[in-house]
Amino acid sequence: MSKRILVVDDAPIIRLMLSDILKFNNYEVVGEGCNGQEGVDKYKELKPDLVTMDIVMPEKDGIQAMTEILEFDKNAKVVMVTAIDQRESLMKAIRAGATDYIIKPFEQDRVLSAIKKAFGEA
Amino acid sequence: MNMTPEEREGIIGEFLAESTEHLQLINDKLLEAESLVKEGQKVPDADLDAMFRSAHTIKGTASFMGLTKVVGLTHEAETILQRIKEHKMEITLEAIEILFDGFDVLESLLNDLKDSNQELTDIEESVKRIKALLEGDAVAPVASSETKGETESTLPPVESTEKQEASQEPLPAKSVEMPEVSSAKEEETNISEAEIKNATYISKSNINEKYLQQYLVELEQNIEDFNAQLLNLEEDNSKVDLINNLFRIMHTIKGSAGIVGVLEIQSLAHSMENILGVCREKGKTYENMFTLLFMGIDVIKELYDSLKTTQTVNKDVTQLCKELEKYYKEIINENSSPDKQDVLVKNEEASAAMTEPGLSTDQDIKRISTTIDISQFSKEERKSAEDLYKEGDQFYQIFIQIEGSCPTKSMKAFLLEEHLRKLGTILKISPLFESISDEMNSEILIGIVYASKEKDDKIKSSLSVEGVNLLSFDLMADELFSSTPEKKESDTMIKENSKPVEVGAAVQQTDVGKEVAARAKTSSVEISTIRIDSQKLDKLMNLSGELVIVRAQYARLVTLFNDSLTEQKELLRILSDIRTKYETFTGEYKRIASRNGNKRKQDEKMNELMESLSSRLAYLEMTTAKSNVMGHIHTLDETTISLGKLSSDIQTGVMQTRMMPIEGVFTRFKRIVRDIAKQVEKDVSLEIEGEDTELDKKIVDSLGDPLTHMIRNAVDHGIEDPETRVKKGKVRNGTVYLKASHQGNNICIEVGDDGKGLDPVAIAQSALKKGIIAEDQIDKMTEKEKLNLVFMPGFSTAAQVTGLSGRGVGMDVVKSMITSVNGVVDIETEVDKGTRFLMKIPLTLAIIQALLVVVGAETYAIPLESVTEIIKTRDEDIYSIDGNDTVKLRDHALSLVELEKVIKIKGTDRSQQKELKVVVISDGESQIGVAVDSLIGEEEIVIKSLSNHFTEVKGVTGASILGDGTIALILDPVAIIQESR
Repeated sequence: MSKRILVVDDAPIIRLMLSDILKFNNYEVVGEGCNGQEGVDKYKELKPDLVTMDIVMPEKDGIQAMTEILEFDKNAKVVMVTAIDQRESLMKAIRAGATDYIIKPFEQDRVLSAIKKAFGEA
Repeated sequence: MNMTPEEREGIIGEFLAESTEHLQLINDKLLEAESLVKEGQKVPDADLDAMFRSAHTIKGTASFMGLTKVVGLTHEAETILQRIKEHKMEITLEAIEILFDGFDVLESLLNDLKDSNQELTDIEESVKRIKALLEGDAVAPVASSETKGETESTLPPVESTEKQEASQEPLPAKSVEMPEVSSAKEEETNISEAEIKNATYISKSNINEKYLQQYLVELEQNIEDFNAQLLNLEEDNSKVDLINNLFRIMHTIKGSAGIVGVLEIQSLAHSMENILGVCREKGKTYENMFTLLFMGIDVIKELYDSLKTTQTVNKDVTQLCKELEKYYKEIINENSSPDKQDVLVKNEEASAAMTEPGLSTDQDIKRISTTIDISQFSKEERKSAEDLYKEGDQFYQIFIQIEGSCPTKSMKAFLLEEHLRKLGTILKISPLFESISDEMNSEILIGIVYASKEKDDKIKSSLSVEGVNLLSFDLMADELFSSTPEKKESDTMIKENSKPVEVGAAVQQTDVGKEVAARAKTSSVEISTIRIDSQKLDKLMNLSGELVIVRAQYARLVTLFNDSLTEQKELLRILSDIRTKYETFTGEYKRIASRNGNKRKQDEKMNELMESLSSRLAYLEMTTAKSNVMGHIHTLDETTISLGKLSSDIQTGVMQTRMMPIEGVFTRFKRIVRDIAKQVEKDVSLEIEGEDTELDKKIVDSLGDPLTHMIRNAVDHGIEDPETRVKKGKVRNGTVYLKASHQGNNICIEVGDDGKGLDPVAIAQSALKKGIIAEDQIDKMTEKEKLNLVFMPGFSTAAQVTGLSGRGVGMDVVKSMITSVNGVVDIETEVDKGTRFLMKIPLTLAIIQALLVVVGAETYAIPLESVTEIIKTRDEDIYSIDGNDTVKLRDHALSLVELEKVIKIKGTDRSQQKELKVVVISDGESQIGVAVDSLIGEEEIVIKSLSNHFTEVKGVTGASILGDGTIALILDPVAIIQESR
């Protein structure tokens, strides 16, 4: 069965691109969230195998969302998707338990590699 | 089938999308087939079938569209596939190659259609090859470059090299920085040169067209939000939380621009984000930043417009970026030491600091990394290792490699360190992540001595990270620590250092988490929204309109059936009549026959005939009576009624999806009022009411320009300058207001000001001067009519034409735009009190209630909105004023026109009619009676726009298809009233 992934980002275009990449490579995108809160809610509802999480988002940022997800499920895999200049935030996210991160603008290969590695597939 | 160009275009779009999918499928299956054939295996019938079906579908749709080339080519390809499918032909590599070629040509045809709506690519070669294959002839080899070369050669060479370069070199890690231009040269460039440069600007952007549309939708929203919030912040500097929002919006704009590949927007957004970043950090705003940021967002808007219309960027933003960067450096330097020369972007500073001297070359790193050895442990390190050993930790020596292409090496190293720290203790690591520079292009080797109680699988998987390879992972020998002395100090020290901090942070986070979770509970009820291309909604709207038509057709069918039911009843009646007559006849015959008993033979024959006739008649009666036509018609009637209900529900539903709050249009006016007020040096505030009022998207879109014009007018001409206002005893600060509200099926929009008001006399005089009206007309005009002169083309009351208004785009354009969405405009004004423009616009454009009337041989639809009443008038009641037919309607005189005279059609001679049917229509200002032949009734009709050829035809706005399939022209009451004057 293909792995189930939740995509959280406030920019629809990024969600679309990530979903496209993932779907095309036989992952199942089980849901999308457009802010941190949605990310947390959908995680609890859908219990995906992995979340891609933007950091800078309205309502609730990705770090907080990830923290809450990890509280709910300490084994949750959360891959941050962030701009290169969000160093401070990214470090915070890593400290808070991010599985890995992808830098925007991303290349398909890096996205896939990060997902595969997170699942221990490569 | 007759189609309007719009319909055709829409269908072509559908066709293209569908066919591209089919082509994809065919290509995939062909590829599979090719490899199967190569391996000498059988191609599954299902695959052949799928390819055949796809080709067949493309052909079918294309023939419907009249695309001869697509049909011709696909037909040939389909034939091959069919033969193969029916095993009349073998699937060879040669056949597959020819099919590939054919479908490539088809693809290029589809691209032609997409770009130019024409079939340009030549199909002859390809068709020839397929035919040759079908005839079993030797086939000319496929010239693979031929068709591709053709399409590519249409691209300008510059662009293609541009694209190649871009694709070879993906966005650099620091792509947000401006391309380096020799600064000395740049500054020398004078304006005209810069302008020329702009005119011929070739964007470096490699735009990802697949995602562009989606990005634009998102960008538009972000631009609007940014404008609104920036304005808000400028008004009230204390709202520092807005800075966060602005920063976030700009960050999103930048991020998505990077993804789609619009470098210009990315650069601008980066520079703007930097400035906002400083504000965010320092928790304050800077006076001059607003002008710059507004300028920036305006340019982004320009880029947006250009992307939307041409899919390209035609503006050089280098200069503006430089200005923004300069300003950024100014403000960031404000509080720091002034002699600090090159202020770098914060993260650059950080990364620069991370590069330790002496670690700059790869060899050094490798040397240090590989020399990790327990023997080199310091005393303290050994101690802590000892304690961990006693606790039962396992020790590992790990070597990790970070890939050279990874753009964020130090961060990956940090990630690894953190992952390891969560599962155990890093005893030694080299190099530290702080000392790794992202700038290094070669791979980085990291050596680690690690202690953990976790299973090695878990540790390994924590090191499974993108851009990182695990080179070796070895359990270290136990003996290493056995001989070292014991001491516990270092262990506790480590624990003190790390644990309490972590616990504290965790507690804090849970608190925050709870709070947020509590808030989330209340907000989770919020309705989630999705964005939909408005064209899709338009289409849905059209389709639901079609449904209304179909329903009407069904209703008509029911009527027709009812008619035939009457016929059937008549038939039954005739049958029973025949039966009676037959009985009489047989009775009579038998009586006569018994009287002349001698003609036996004839008698027998006659009896036979009568019996046969009787049985057939009985059969006829039985079948006619038995058929349950009546019941079926009743069911049909009921079904039609529920169809009607469904279709109107669907229509309402679709209409509601098209409804959007007018807010989007309204918010931009805050900015406009601010800009204009600043320019004309007036104090003006804008008050907005009812921004959540919803109306059709199409109308919302068309309202922007007229409202902008009115608002500009209000600020520029309506509101007096502050001194004059004070002299008049008014408050210094002028107010412009914008209100929206619902009124039945209409929306009312009001644009007003508390300025000097409009003077009807001055308006009339001005119109006279401009030759819009003649002197003798003025006396006859009411005040209202005089005011309405401002809607005449070429009118402007401003004594002084400013740079803002009076550009020739006048209120006449406003009026025509409002009219084009079937709305009306009204003016209310009072000198020195202010002016109000009231607009009444229907909620939706696609479906209206109309009154159907007949004139001559044709049916016409009059929008019910403008019908005030229907009257009957006798010939003797009509009298003439100024040569115009007039009737008395209650206390008013009502001008009477015959429709045929206004729209110049062949009408009926009504002079002999005793009674005239008159429909009274109104455009909101004046009324007029339209004489018609007969009235059909009210009906919901779907508006179909007429093509451009008909724009000159006055009095008609569109057409509609009625239930019986006839077409009714929709009359334009406003134009009819104007024309009849």
